[in-house]
Amino acid sequence: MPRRLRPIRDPVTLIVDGDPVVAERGEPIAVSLVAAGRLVLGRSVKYHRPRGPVCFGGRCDGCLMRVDGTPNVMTCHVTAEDGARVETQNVLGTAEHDLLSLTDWFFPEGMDHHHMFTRFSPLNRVMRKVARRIAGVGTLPDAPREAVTPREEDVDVLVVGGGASGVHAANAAAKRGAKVMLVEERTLGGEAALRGESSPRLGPPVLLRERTTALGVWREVGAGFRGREQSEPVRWVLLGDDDGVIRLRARAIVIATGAEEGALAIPGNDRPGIVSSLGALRLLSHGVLVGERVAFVGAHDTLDIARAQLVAAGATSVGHFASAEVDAIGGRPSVSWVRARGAKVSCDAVVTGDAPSAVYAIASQAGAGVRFDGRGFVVSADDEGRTSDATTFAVGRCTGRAGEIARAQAERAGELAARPDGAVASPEVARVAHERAPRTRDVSTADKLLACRCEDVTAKELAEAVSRGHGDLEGAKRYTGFGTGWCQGKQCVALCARLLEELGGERADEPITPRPPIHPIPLAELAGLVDDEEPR
Amino acid sequence: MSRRLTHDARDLPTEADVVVVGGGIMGLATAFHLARLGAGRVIVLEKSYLCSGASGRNGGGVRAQWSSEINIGLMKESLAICADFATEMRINVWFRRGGYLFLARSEERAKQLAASVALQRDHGLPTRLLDAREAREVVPELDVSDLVVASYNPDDAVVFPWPFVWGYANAAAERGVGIFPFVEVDAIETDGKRVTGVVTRARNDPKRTHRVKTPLVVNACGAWSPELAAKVGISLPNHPHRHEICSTEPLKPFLGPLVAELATGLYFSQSMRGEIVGGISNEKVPEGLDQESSLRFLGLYARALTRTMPILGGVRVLRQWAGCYDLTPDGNPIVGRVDALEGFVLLCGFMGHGFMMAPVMSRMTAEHLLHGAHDALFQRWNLRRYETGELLSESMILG
Repeated sequence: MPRRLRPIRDPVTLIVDGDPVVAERGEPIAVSLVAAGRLVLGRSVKYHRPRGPVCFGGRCDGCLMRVDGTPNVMTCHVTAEDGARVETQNVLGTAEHDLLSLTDWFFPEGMDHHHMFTRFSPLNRVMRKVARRIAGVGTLPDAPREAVTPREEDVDVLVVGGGASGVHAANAAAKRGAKVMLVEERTLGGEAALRGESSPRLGPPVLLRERTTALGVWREVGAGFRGREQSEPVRWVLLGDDDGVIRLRARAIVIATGAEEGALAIPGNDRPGIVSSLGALRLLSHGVLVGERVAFVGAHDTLDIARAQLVAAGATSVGHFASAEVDAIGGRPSVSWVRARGAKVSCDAVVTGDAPSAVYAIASQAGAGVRFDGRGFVVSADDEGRTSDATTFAVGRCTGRAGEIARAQAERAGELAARPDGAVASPEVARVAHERAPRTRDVSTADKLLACRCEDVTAKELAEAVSRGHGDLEGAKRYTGFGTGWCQGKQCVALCARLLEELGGERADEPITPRPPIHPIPLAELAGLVDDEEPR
Repeated sequence: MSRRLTHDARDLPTEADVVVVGGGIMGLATAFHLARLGAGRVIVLEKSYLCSGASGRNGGGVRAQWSSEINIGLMKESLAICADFATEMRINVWFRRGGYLFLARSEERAKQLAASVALQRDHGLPTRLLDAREAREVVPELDVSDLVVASYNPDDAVVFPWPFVWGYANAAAERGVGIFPFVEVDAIETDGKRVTGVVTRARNDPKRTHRVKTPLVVNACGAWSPELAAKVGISLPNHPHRHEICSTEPLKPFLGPLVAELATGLYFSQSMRGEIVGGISNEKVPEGLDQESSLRFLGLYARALTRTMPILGGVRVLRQWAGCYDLTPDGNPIVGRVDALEGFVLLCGFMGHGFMMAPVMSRMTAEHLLHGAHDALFQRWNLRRYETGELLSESMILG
């Protein structure tokens, strides 16, 4: 079980499904709940499988709960305050014992809902009624929300991502006299700090926005806002922070969003208690140890760091396995064993980290090309950070570069981005011919292998899509629904592309189109984007 | 089940009785009916993936509330086909009869609605006019403060669009129709008077072309139909217009009907998965074929939606996308043979409502081409009307 490594400093009481839970003021609610031994925070949409947080960093679906009357709140993103009302969603019973999890048992390998009950009309009608009743996660908010007026900003250079590459690029651009803004989802150098690395200092002329998320990039012709009509195409960036949204124009954008460790392609990969390396480190930074007996699965440098830090904090490592060595992960409702190298190893947490994949959505929307390298996605950029779009640059790990090469790339990209005339577009994404691959993966496993957690899409369902002629990434997305849930594909698209190929589908050359917004935005925050007087 | 739904361009035949261009619901459903009625060798060419065009991008509304007799009649039939589609075609389309609720917030719009409702009732629809209180009985979360009147047909429905495309594709393939995605039409060959073949180009082999001899080409390219017609020198009056749409987080079911407002073009419904899916008119869109999303749309939609249903303010938008309406100057489709070129058939100009019209229009088109049936409709909606000036009207176009 997870435990706190130090006493709670400033205790507050949360009301979780009516029960009091003591938490530390200001820590993320998801952390409070996990620290209190609540690993199961909700149930998945289709099979009602138990769900718990994976990343503690706003990228997964595992911590969604109803908080103070608002549905589907990422509890990793809201801080614990006294009396906060936290409720489990989507259960008939409790999070731990959900009657609707019968569907998980009834469809052990997943279901092809496209063809269920299509032989007999009355039965089909009943099924549709039942399906509608159990669909959806969360219920309407308790109260309406007023429209929020967005803030407006103009900068020369916007840098997205506050890791080392982002800081180098921002400093280089600012040194050239450009007005530079750097946005970072959490805190500057946060990830490097978690990994125990030192990060470069940000130069003073750079406008820093922490806890600020890039929500999307839009190119619009002829559509202005509030008297800012443009004859030329405008590129808007929408940023979100705790106070609402900021509508921003930037002459150049530098993407330094990094790469995320990949999800495991192992049956049972969605069990609560399985957390990412960064997730485990984030928990640790709040003084919470993810488990006593921890299995480490995958191969990623952050995983090695997580293992060292967790062991130093008092956890026992029950083994570090390559993902190919593990053929199942189990436990009900949360993880209690992994089967590795033919033997069952008991554990109370699994920390994972597999092949990294670029955080590419904002790069793609800004106009850069993204390609699939067989394991994950990479933003196509050259050694100077140039992409196929003249005003979009990409640097660092999201382009597959690290260390000194990444630093040189980031600094050069910062300089180029600061030039008012921009740069010359460079790398084009080479298209590969779509060919079917030989099938190398067996999907008849005892437990489900979740290709997409948010929409409960199993590997078996992907195989079904392939056999019915939807073997390309876009086609399979439409047939199975992967990538269309809460996280909009942040966790799953690389895994699905890999699985599709292993299942005899087509080799992807690029990701599914990353639709805006990149993170969910409340309608009230969007409603202020147009003036009351503004005609349609 | 390992039969392929679609085929690779390498398997393209050298001859076909009918070439349908456009692998959307209209093209695939027409190919299915042609094959079913014994049209011989039918192939469908699609330049991208199935569902890549408007058929894969629409909101899935199917309604009989229209303002013209023809549309009311056709859509009644389309609704009936949709209701049985799952068991007929063995694929779930999640047909749900939640009704359509049209809102009028001005006297002028109210008059327009009342006239349409009268016509609809004459044609056997159970459409009713509702006052503010009655409208709130149907949708309790509605802000009815400036509502003049609403019209409600409980028999209208929403569906999930993609399985329709697959269902027709599958049924067509079972009857021997070859479906070729990622194959574009390079040219249409004629002998001056009639169509003699098409020249194709495949995405995975763009340097080579391939020739298919055929006497009959059906233009079911939706917003791309003027481009195809231009290849044989025919200038169509329809033009593409980008239309955007978005989807929220999924919530437990609470909203019965699709709610729509003709004045703003706002419409929204709750999908089977629980998401609120909807769109709104946006006059300021780029000319031409454009499927990009805009921030402006999100603002317009969010403003109108939260005014209509304030409780949705805290509900989040998960994703937005865009597709192209295929607009005609008189709001009515352009279908049937063209006078200038024998063997060239139009099946386009469906004003963003082609998806709901396809189940019935595809069948009628096949019957018309093979047996000369439904001649009156195909004369009325013929391209010829733009030369003779006998234009039509339709006021219940959304978006």
